[in-house]
Amino acid sequence: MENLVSDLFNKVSFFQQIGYVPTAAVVMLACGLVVLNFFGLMSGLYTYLERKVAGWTNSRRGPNRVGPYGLMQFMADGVKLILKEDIIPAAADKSIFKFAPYLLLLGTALSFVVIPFGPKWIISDLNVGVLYLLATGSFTVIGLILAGWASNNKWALLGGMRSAAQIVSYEIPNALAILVVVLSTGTMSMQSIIRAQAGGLHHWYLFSSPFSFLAFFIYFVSAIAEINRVPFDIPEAESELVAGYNIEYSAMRFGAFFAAEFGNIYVISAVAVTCFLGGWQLPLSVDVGELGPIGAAFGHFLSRPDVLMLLLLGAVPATFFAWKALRAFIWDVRRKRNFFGSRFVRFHSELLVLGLLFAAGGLTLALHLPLRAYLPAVYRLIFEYIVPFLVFFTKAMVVSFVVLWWRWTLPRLRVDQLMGVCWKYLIPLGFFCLVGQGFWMWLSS
Amino acid sequence: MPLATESMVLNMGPHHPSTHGVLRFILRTDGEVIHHCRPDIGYLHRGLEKIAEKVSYAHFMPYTDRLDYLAAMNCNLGYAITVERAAGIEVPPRAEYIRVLVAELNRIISHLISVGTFAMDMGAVTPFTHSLREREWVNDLFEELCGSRLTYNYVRFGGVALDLPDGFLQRLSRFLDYFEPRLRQYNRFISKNKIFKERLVGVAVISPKDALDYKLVGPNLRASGIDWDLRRDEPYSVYGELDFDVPVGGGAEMGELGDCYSRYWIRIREMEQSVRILRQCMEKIPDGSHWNRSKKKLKIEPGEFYVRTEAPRGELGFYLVSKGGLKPHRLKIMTGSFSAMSIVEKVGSGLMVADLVALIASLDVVAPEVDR
Repeated sequence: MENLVSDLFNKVSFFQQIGYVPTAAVVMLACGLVVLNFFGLMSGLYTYLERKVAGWTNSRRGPNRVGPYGLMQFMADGVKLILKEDIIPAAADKSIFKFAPYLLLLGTALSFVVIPFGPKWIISDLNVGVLYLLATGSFTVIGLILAGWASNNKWALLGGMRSAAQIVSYEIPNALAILVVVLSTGTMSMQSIIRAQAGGLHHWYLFSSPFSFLAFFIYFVSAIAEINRVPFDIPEAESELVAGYNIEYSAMRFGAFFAAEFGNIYVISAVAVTCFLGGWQLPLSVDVGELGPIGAAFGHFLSRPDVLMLLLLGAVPATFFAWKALRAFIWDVRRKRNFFGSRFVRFHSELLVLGLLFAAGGLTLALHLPLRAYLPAVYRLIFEYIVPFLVFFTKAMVVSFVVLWWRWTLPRLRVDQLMGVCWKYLIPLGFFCLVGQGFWMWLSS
Repeated sequence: MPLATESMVLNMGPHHPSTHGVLRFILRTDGEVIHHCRPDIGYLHRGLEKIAEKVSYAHFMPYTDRLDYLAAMNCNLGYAITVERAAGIEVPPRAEYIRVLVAELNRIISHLISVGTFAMDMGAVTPFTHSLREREWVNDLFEELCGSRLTYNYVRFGGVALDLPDGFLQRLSRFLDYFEPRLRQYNRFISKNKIFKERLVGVAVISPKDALDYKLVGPNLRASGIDWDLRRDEPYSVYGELDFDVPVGGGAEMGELGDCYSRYWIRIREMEQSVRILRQCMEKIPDGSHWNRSKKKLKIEPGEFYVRTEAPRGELGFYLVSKGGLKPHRLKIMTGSFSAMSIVEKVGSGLMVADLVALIASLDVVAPEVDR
């Protein structure tokens, strides 16, 4: 954002006339709008995705009525929530009751400030980015306690109490796991953490050392606990507390809780991607400028550790898909199915999608040299903005798919077991990782 | 110095996601821990026993469907056997086999619901939808058998209302072939799940003595280690001719004797045994009449009769007092869910709120059967 402000101020005469501070204000407003819309869109998308994933696991279809593939369902839900009556219980503490959901929403929206979208796309690359994220994450707990207390409902109170205990405890392993990364990079800025993982797959903190590998799982588990998702959704455990802290909420205030919850999924996925999965960087350290002729590139590629790791990682799903496709193909041949009626085509459209993705990637790589020579602006747009954003977004989506998938597969823990997992396992493990990472760095230096 | 705290009275139900129907528990809790738990029943009382005194014997049959709507066939069967013993009605062998067939099918779907809702109460939603998917299959079978999917009103005094339709046994055998691997899939999916076991093993243990004292019946009794199954120990219908095991709690696969997990696991094992019984029935089923139908109005000589059968929720007893005539003088119904509710107060005190949910789910209480 700072770059944008100075660029605009220096290059556009209109902004020079109105001065630096108004320029900054305009840019801030615009960025805020963009990010809030992105946040709203993401939480909408996650409600859709969650119900679709639920459909897949529950052997149902999920939303498929409103719009193509049911994609407009979240819009319809949003409109419904806005139009519904906002009921406030007579005995509730009205002002706190009204305020609490927005506190939650505020915490999530503030987190988006330091989440990068690309090497040059970030609202503000704070030098205390990670610390800032931990701080905004704590807004959640205040909102939940206030909501639970102000509802004047015993179930809501129990939910609020549970969430307070849970979130406060799980912040510790969460912070410890991120500290492992901060220890290695020596910086808390999100972009610098990503840049520290440059050079391909084996530089990502997920793979670079056994301790940061463990730290990733500590982070993931405690982050899921912090945003109250299954198997740690005890504050809103349906079968125990009916709905927990949001039991008395209706209409858009209820919607605000949900928007915050689903927005948080993107936040934790983005942080996981930033800190452990190389952020917006490709798994290969492709310097598109020096790729050269494809034949030479292959010989050069195979001697590189990141290529080998990517091949190894790719081999597992590739074998799986190939095995399934082969079985479907045999099934088709045995039953003499025609092409469009075959299992191969109906059930393995994922192969088609993968193929299209590879084709698009290949095309972009093939075109990069003429593009750079003749259309440098388009080249920069693609390789500095669009490709990094797509890479980051894809990684975040893979991580959040796991979050959604767990939601529909696992039972939930009991309160005391939840605390046990945190204090007996995750926190000691977190300290172990921190110390171990220190030793690892000392050994490798 | 411990802080002086006040206990909180928490009203769980009558509308609560995990009471499955309208049950109410009044909990006195200290935070999450329940000090005292009192079940409050009667929200679904419909006066079935009183209705029985007002209608003729045959007309009461549809009401038994509503006794336990998840196992209507078993309730039909229990009532039919009671009246048959009282009136001395013979049942043709084909009808006996059909009755056992539908009763065991109904036991499977009743246990499926039990297991599915159990998992849902533990927070895992997917097993519930999967078990409902399997139940649909049986519902379809029942629909082609007698036209309804939930309240069947299928068993008659002296037989069953309709003979098996063409191809029914083939379709049943296809269901069983499909169902057995599914059951193993459930075990991989939820029964062996670490979190699920963690939540249930050693929770809300009911000792064998308590189980007998509080008159637990059926799977809940067997989970506490008491080897008692009416199908084997007091055989009615053709159960005497069939070969099956009675799973009992305790042992390597189970959790602690009489805990929530063993009550869950017993039901999975019983479904396996029901499949065994069904396969035998399909082989042994003879040809012949399906209904020894009498045109006369049914009258029962004065006397008292008590017949108990093994329904999915345990012993289902009908105590019939007749003073002659077309209607019973008194019909008392003894159900498994009612006696299971009585032990909640003893075992539930001292648990956590989440464990109470597990306890209720593991006792497999059905609200209309509690209140009648």
